Amino acid sequence: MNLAHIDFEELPRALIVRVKGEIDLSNVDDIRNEVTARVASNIARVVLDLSATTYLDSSGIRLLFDLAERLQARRQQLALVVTDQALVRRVILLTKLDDEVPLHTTVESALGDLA
Amino acid sequence: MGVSGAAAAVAGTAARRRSTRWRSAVRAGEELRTTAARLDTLLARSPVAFAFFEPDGTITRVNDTFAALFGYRADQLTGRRVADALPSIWVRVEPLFEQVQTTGQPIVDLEVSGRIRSEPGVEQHWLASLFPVQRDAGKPGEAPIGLGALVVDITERKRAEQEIELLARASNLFAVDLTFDEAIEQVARLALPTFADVCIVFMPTANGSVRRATITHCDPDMERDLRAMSAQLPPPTPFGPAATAIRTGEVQFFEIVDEEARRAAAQNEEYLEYLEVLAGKSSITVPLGVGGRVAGAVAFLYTSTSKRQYRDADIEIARELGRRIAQVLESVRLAGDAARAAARLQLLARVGELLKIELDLAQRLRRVARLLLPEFADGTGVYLVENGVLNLVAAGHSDPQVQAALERAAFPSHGLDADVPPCEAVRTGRAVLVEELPGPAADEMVAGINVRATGNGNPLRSYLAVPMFGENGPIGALGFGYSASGRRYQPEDIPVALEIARRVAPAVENAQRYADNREMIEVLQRTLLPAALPEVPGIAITGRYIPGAAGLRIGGDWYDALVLTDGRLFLAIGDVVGHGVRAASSMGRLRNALEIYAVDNASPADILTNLNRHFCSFADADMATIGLLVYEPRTRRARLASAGHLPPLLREPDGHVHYLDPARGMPVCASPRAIYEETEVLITAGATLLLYTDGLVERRHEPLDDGFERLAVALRDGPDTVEALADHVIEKLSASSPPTDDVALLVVRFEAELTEFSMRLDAFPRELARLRRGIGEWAARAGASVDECDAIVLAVNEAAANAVEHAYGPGDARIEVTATASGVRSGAGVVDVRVRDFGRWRPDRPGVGGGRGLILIRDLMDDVSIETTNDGTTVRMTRALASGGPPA
Repeated sequence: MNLAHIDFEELPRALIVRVKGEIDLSNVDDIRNEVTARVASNIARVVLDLSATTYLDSSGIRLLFDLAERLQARRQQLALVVTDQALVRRVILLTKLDDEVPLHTTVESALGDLA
Repeated sequence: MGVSGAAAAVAGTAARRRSTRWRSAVRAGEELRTTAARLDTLLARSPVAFAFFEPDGTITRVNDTFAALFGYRADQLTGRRVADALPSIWVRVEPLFEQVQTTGQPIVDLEVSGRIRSEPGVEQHWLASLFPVQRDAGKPGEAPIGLGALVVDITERKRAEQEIELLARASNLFAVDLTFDEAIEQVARLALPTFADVCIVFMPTANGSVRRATITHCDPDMERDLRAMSAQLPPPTPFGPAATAIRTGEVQFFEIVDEEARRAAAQNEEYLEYLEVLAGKSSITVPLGVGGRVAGAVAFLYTSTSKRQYRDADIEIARELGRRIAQVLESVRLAGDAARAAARLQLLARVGELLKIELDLAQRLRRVARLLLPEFADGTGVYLVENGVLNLVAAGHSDPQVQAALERAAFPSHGLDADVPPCEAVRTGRAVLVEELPGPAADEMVAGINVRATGNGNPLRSYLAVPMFGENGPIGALGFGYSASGRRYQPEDIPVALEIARRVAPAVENAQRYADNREMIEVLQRTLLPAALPEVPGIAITGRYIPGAAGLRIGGDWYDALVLTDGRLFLAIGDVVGHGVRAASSMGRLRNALEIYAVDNASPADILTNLNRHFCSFADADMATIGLLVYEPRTRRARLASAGHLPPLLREPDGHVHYLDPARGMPVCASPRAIYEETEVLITAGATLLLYTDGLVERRHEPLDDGFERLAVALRDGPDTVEALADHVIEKLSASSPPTDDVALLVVRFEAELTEFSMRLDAFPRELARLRRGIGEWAARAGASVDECDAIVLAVNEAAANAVEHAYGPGDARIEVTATASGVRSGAGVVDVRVRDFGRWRPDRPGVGGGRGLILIRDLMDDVSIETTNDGTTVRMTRALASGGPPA
């Protein structure tokens, strides 16, 4: 059973990762592996688009914290795209992930000058 | 120029000088002779062609190089006039002679072309300079005493230039977006007129012969005539150059095509006439080979138009041209194939959509006809076998004007033995492909779909007919035609067309079958089934109706379900004796009356008693069996009464199945004095009830008890949800022998308490998604808002995930989640959830997500407690609901 579908879009200096579906304990490791494998050293920012993510649990939050930390160590940035009303946003705010990682409502704004 | 001018002057004046000044003349003569002889020697050996002419064009002196250009020796030309020796050249150069003599100015490096005696079929090209010869060299105004010519043969250079240009033109076609047929037209024009007068492209056909894909001629009038003739001809002979080139992959070169060869190639008088009009004099036919496969052939012909001839050197050019043409066609074909493959998938999907839509026959046929335009056809026809003839019953065309004409047209019909593709398809049960329709015969031949399109100058050019099979053999055919688009059907299209027909045929057959009974269907649709089944919280209801005997025996079975104003659920099922429109309408009347009585009566027995008394007073009332059940959700009690109807079947939550035993009364309309009684049963939460008509269980030559037993087993083993269960029951009861009578079925599931939730899951991460769905649906039904549902789902998931992550092993790999909702109706709703595992918690057990799970739970829920015992751990969470009341 595959709860989430991930697709990647590679821009010259950014990687856009779109996660469609649910992130929970059952697939969080797969997602972690799939995403980290795709982050090349030459990109400046990973934009994780969660606007089509319908569920995110605390194991997913841990993944996002880890990912932000790991990218920071490589002088790369993580930006999240989360829609306003989403359950996902609620979880992110409750766990204060937004203190560590900037939230955007669109991929365009998350890309900023890298678009 | 200076040297030759002087030499000419010397030669021209020698005689006169001898006569006037003898002594010096002798000396001068010696010198001159010496000079002239030297010059002659020089001229003779020169690789450059020289000639000197009298003003009238007589050749006075010429070297061998010059003579050889025209296929002569020097002595054969000397003293002759150009007009006599080289008449075809003289025609072209005479004006130039005039010009030079009049103006006294030379003409330098002029390109002249013409034929010569030794190679009459080859156009030669020369670069010629013509200059005046004057007595006193360089004196202006003096009339020339002769002309000198200096000629270079550039035939080979010219040919090389043309070859390069030709091949470049072929390669340019790669850059153009063309359909396959357009590409064929374009490549056939490449070689005209430099390399051919006529070009014919040949393609192999499905049956192994060869067809002329196109023919071009450098003269447009000739081209038109040849195309018209070609359309009427049989395919080229298998021994001809085209078929041979395709078969062997070898170039076919005919330096000279004579009358005899032509007669040998002609298969009949018309063919000979065509070949004579074509008037080929010389030809090269090259195979179009791509990747080791021969995809066709191209013939280049010189005809009587130019009277040219191919030489050995041309073979290589033709071969190279053929190679490039083949590549162009292949790339166009591949592009077309890719587009076609994508379009085909869409087509089939579209056909699938069609079958889902309920349409009457005429609508459905019209839709089929238009479905495949323009991707798969320019024109389509749907043909049905009706009373031994094949009728065109619907037609479509991608041209809106033609379509409009088709709407008004009366369609033709054909005897099944007619010699037209759709009839042949029905007769043989196979696809009939006519890649290339022979010209105007086309519409005559397919006699149908585009007869009127011809009026628009839009004849069909390629046609494909496929049979449609019904349950008992061919029911008709689909015809597809290409016209304006210039596309051609190919053998690869046959499987797609057959697949389309295979999918369309059942839709057409069903529509056709019902067409005769349409009135009946409409009556049934109005009366048989309730427009919509009621939605009752905690109760799932579904109904099914299946016409008996392959859809033709429509009877008086029906079901009904409605919620009465006091909240009770009223369920009815019945069977009017008899079949057809009368039974159906009689049943409709009963149903209406029942609903009216149901509103006023609490008791199903009273309802039946009143209904019976009422209907017995009608002269035309039909006898009917009816089963009634009125359910009170508050008490979970149901009251049942039966007018001769089969007993309902109940599946208890534990899976036990039993027939309820209502007090059985007489069928309605059997006797006006019939009395009906009722029984009452308690319906357990989670039970499923089945109401049905006798068609479901009765089978000829079989005791009714066998049917009852089969039904009981089917219900016992069936799935939980009512929709799946209804399908399951019908499937199981139709498995051995399908019902001959019609069947009505009502499945009702009385859900467990709305206020309770319970789920057991294995301690694996993959189970969490199922838990989230279950608890989310329950919370929503229990009256939680969207936000509250999200919160409950998140909290429960975290608690369960924690148990999953920290379970020691499969031994304690089990989690139970239970929840209750209370006070929802009073507006002070509270949800209380327990997540229990049976593992021992490790003392240092952190939370899922690095402890964030517990943070989430505490944030989302009002009160959280964790209780650990030797048996396991229970997380208990409660949350108040903001506004009460479950959804209505």
